[in-house]
Amino acid sequence: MKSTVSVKNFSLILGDKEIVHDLNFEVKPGEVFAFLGANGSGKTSTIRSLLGLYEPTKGTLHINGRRYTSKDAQSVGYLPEERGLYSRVSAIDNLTYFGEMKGLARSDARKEGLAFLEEVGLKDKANLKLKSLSGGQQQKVQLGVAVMGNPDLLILDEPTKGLDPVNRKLLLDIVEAHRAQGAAVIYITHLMEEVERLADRLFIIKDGQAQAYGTVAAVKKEFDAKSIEEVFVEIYNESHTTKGEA
Amino acid sequence: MSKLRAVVRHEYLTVVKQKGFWAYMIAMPLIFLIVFLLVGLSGKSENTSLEKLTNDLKGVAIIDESGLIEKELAAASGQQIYPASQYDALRQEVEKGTRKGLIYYPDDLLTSRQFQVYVAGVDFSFSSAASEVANSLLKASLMIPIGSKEKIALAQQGAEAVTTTYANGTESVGFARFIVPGAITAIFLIILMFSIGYILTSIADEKENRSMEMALTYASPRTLIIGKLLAVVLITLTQLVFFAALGGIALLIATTTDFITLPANFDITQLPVDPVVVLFGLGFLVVGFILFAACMALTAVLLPAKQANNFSAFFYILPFVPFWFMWVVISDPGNMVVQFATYFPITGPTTALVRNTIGNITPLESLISLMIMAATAFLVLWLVVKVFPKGALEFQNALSLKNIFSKR
Repeated sequence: MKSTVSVKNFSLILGDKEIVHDLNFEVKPGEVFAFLGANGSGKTSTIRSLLGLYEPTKGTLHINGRRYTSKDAQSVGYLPEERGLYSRVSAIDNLTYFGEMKGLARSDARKEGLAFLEEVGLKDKANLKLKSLSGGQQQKVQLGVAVMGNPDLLILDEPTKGLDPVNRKLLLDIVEAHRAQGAAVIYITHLMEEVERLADRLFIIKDGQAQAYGTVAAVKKEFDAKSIEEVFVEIYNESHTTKGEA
Repeated sequence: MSKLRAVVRHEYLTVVKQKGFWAYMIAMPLIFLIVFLLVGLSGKSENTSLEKLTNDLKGVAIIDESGLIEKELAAASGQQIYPASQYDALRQEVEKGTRKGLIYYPDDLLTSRQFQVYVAGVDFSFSSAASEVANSLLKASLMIPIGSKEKIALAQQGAEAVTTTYANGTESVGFARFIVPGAITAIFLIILMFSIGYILTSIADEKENRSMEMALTYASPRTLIIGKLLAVVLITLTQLVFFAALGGIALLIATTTDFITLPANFDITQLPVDPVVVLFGLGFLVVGFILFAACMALTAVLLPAKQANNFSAFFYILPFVPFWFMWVVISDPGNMVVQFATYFPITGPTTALVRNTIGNITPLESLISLMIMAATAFLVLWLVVKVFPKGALEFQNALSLKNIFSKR
């Protein structure tokens, strides 16, 4: 099966600092790929490089077989770690605007935006300015931006951060639905139970270097651990060389 | 193209849907209107006060020992001349407050050039008016021997100079020729003060609310920047249409009522238009607009929101520097400072527009200034597009020079 994401020999130097060193991984259609690492380990920089926001110092990062540009916006849905939409604009106008940016016709974007708001229980708040919504509600709107247009690739950076259990379940259900439709999902989180529940494969980095890569079961076996949390703790508690195969 | 349209629509509607935008638009002319009305009302109240003052002045007594004051004139202005023997009694009346005032012209007035004014109370306007009446009465009395009323009026008020100027061998159209290029200059200043800032606010807001990363994921920096620029153009046009509508209403009031007085023979349809002057004026307006918008965008990209707001003051102050030495700009266009201000990109648009309005800039100077402005605008725009993705993702920090030119 052809990979949705292919990262080969990727290194990134920002300023004088090497942020990422020689990363290699692939993400396939219909899988949830957990991308894990402590804060500052290089995850966001890798995603930004994948999305063309940073130029890689070395290596290649491809989505659907080529370097991503904004022309391919319809194929990608991104929920960045740095949350933010236009606070002085209504929820539906935010969704419509980003829908258009992703290549949808204005009317289609609006229609899809309203359908999403209904799905997440925010239809009655569609015309309210974003700043008048709660943090969790704003986060749902931002997820709506990411999933608009049914992209081939969803990149979700800590999507459940700050959500209550009900909304967390709702969000995870949406992610699973998109996986079921064949989307590849790069899922960044610090919550290992979400990894256990959702992820097909995972990739752990530390200080910009690969530490573990493979199916959830294979990585657990390799580290002789009962859970991914144990694997994570082991990696971050001691110096560890790269392990695992795709 | 559809993304560009989406960015323009989004940026435009985000601004014009804000209550603050319209509040600001309405508040500015409203403040002018209030000031205008206050001046009018104070004029009316001044007239009422003058009537009272005139009545009060009628009770002012005059003693003339100089023999220079014409009795008829004093009587005509409501004052009565008393004999010198009543000086002490009249002065006491003023001291007690039973008489409003006393004007005393001494017999040595010709040599001393001084007369006395005694006033009851501390009413400054009344004492000033009494002094003024005394002086006017003296002057008018002295002028009576001149002869006719016309000669007296001419001696008192002088005559008006009617100037005819010639340009390129033909009679020029005087003040009216300044109106069209002057309006272009005024429009540029309005844009500078009211519109250019929106592009800075737009980028700074996107950095501050973190929506920039999403925007950059789905649209190219060029689309975003051009979209923002076009949106500011639309916002500016909205403002200009709004102000023009208000101006139209004011013109309608002026032509149908006597509330506002227009210059004699004013006809908006007959305004003289010099194509070269207008063409360069519009060039300075458009290129100057792009230059300042690009500078604002660059400031917003390079600096965090608060610093960017502070630094932007630079672009509001510098263009007005030529107005500080306006007399030199008008009277000595060859002056080194004026030349520098004409060609320096940030002061260039305003200086060139002012010189274009008053007609002391040559087409060659205009062309050079315009080319420098255009080149700078292009360079700044190129830099904005280049550093936009880098600066836009530096939410809290200023972008260092090293980062600007790094490969990332």
